[in-house]
Amino acid sequence: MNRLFAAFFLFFSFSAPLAAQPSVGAGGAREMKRIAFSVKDGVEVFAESVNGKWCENILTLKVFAQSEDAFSPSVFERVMDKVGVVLENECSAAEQCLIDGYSGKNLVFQGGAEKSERWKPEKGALKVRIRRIQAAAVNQTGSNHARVWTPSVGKQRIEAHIDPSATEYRLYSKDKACSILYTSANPENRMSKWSIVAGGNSCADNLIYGRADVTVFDENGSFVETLDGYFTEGRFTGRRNLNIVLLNRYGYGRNNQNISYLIDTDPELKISYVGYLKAPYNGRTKRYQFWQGCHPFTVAAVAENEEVFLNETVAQNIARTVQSYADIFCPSATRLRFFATTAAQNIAGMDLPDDAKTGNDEALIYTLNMKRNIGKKWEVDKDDSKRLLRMRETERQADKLRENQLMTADYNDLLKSDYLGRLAYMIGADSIENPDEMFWAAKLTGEPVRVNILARVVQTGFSSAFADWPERFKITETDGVLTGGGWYLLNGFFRVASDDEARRDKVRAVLELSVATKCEVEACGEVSDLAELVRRRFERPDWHPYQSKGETP
Amino acid sequence: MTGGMKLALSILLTLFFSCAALIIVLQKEETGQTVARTLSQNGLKGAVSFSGASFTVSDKMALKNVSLVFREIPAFKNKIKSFVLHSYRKERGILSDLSMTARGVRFKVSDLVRLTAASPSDITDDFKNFDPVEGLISQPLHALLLAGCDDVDATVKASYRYFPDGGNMLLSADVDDACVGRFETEILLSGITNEKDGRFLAAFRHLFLRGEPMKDIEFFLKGATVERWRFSLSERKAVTGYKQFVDRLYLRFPGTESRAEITPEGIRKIATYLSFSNAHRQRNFELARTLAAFVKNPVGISVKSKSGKAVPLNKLNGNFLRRFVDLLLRLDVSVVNESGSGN
Repeated sequence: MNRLFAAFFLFFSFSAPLAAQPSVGAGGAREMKRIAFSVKDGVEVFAESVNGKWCENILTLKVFAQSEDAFSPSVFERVMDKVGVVLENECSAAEQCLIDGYSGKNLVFQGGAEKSERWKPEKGALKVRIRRIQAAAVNQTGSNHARVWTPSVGKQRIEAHIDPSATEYRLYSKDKACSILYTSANPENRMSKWSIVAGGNSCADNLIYGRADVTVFDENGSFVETLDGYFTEGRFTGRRNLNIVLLNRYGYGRNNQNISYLIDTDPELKISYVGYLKAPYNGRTKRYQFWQGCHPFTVAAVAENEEVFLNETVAQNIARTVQSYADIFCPSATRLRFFATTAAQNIAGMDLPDDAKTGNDEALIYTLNMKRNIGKKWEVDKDDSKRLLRMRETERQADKLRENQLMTADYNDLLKSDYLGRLAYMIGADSIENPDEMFWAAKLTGEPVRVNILARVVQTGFSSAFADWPERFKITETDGVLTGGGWYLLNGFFRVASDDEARRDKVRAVLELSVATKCEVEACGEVSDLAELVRRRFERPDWHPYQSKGETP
Repeated sequence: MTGGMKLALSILLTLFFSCAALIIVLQKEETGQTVARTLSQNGLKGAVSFSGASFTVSDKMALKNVSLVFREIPAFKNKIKSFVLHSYRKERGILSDLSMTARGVRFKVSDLVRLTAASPSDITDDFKNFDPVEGLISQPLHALLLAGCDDVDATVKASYRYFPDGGNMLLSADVDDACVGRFETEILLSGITNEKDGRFLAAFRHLFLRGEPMKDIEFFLKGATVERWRFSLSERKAVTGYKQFVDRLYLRFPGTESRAEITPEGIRKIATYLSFSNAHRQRNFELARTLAAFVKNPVGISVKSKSGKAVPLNKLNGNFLRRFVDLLLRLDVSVVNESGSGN
């Protein structure tokens, strides 16, 4: 027991910095309340509280154990059973919990548990991360039910709102205490008179969340149907408690009513992972079925920039990530449809029917269809990533074409240019200057002038040299720049020689050297090979003007 | 006409006549003291300075160590060692005859370029973008510098005769500089009214006082007719120096053709250019060849109009070079290259 309390003491010693950080979506002081312990298993369980209140819909638990063995499935499930009993009695509002498990000072377990799953712990940092972002979203949105929440991923913003295209109506109980969001093809004047009777739900926020039994009555008070199952933000999701952050509610006509929900965001790659629910219309009953998104599990990676998908490794990682999402959100799903896009809506097969012809083809990068048997790994069923390959190839060809156009344009310009122009091109300068002109410019302005000059260097010293062509001038600061005599393209500042320099060195001008490019042949005559000049500039040794195969101009 | 050309023309005319103009406003002075007093009365006290004045038997007046202050460029340093007024006569109150000689006219061309530039960066840009052909017309001062002629040390002889009855004016000038060479010219103009003559003389006065000399010159030339014109140039260093500059500019290597020479292709281009002013292609080719020969071996060249040809200046159109060429061809000039054959 001493070791247990030592660990407990240790927790507070390193959780102090954590407490100093503001909690996500709340600015109050963070404390810990011990809610359970097991002497037999050497475990203590603490709930994080904000401003003294620890009971929330989503709890954050810290579990301290004497040994890592306490987090083995058999032991930890037993511990969480006890936690569930405590929560049942002391915090009936709790639906989920995020768990960080420590052994000594090491974080050895991250995961979560849900009331609907009888608080059976599930390990996985990814799942925890998703729930954290969802919890943050719920906290931020408060009672606005995510309508105004806008996840920001770079410049890409996904507006969370109910679109007028959604055939959705809010149905209230007679006392107005509860309401649901009901999808119907009936006109509004009828639907405004429909009502519900809700049972098994507190309706604390007016919209029904979680498990409930709702009966719908029409304008005449006649029974329409009973919705017995789970609700997410007032929308019936059948027997699945999705507990997700809804984004957009919209539709494309009667047969395509959609909800998108945020799964996760990747700030580094600037990707939002968005899932989709549909409410199929039953023509026989003229009613919509519950919202469903697992058969198939449909997910989109919405990127600000499509180039992110061009990296093969990144694309593979994205594919693995969406498989994990499928495991988390829809463990029973056997089909997965993945869409790499730059838009979160209006894609055929994603939120539009497969055969839709009005989709946003420009936004779709590629699709991937996968299938599996329960408990088995995902396998690619239909790979449309050839579209990506095509795009890559098109882009590569476009780049190559663009480069060829630039090279050809350069080549044609060089054909029209004179020797000076070709020399300037060789060193990437605008022009080659004339010493006479630059001497007078320097003399009349009283300032050195930046120049590029072709010169023959004939006499080199330790840190200075002389040029004898096109005129005699002194070159200074040559150490490490000039390697000897010969022809050079010199870059530096040209100035008027001082009286001393003029008398001693018999020059009128001095070049303070910055960069020197040695000519391969006399007077940099290599510039007469225009194609080679262009090849060097673009580092394309295989290039030929006019695209003539193997033929030099 | 560009600013550079206007400036160059102003300076040239000043060299010819500036001192004469001084005398015009000093018509009745007899001593150095009274010269100074008259300068003051005419608002030129700060514009002209000299160390002494004297009178000789053969000449009207002589001034020593004259320096001028120009209104637009007051910092421009210049010096005229001696100025002699040889003749000076008026008829019915209008100046009809004047001749003068100025020796030791000294100034630096680079001073003019620097003082007339808008900013230092303009100076650098002007030199970087200097075109060796167009620059001769548009930036003559820059061209002189690049030819190696910074220090001007010239003797200037000039004469002026005006015949009010006939409306004719005869101007001549002889400028001899150690670098530029010797330039002689004589021009006979008709259609010069007394008012135009007055504006011509006022142009010099306006170089020192408030006014616009170029407007005076333009008024003077408007409606004038050139009856006769000759000019000649004897080379010393300028043409040769400019050719060397062009060779360096175009990176001429030993044993290769100089782009400073006028090639057969260049002769064809010049002949074609001349043909837009006169369709006599054979003569145009001869003119171009003579010019090419002078450039190849620059000793001297002279141009002389044919007698009986008169060209009203207001008949000329186009840019400065086109008007100049038009004028020469309408005057049916003959060009003689002093080192060889001519036209």
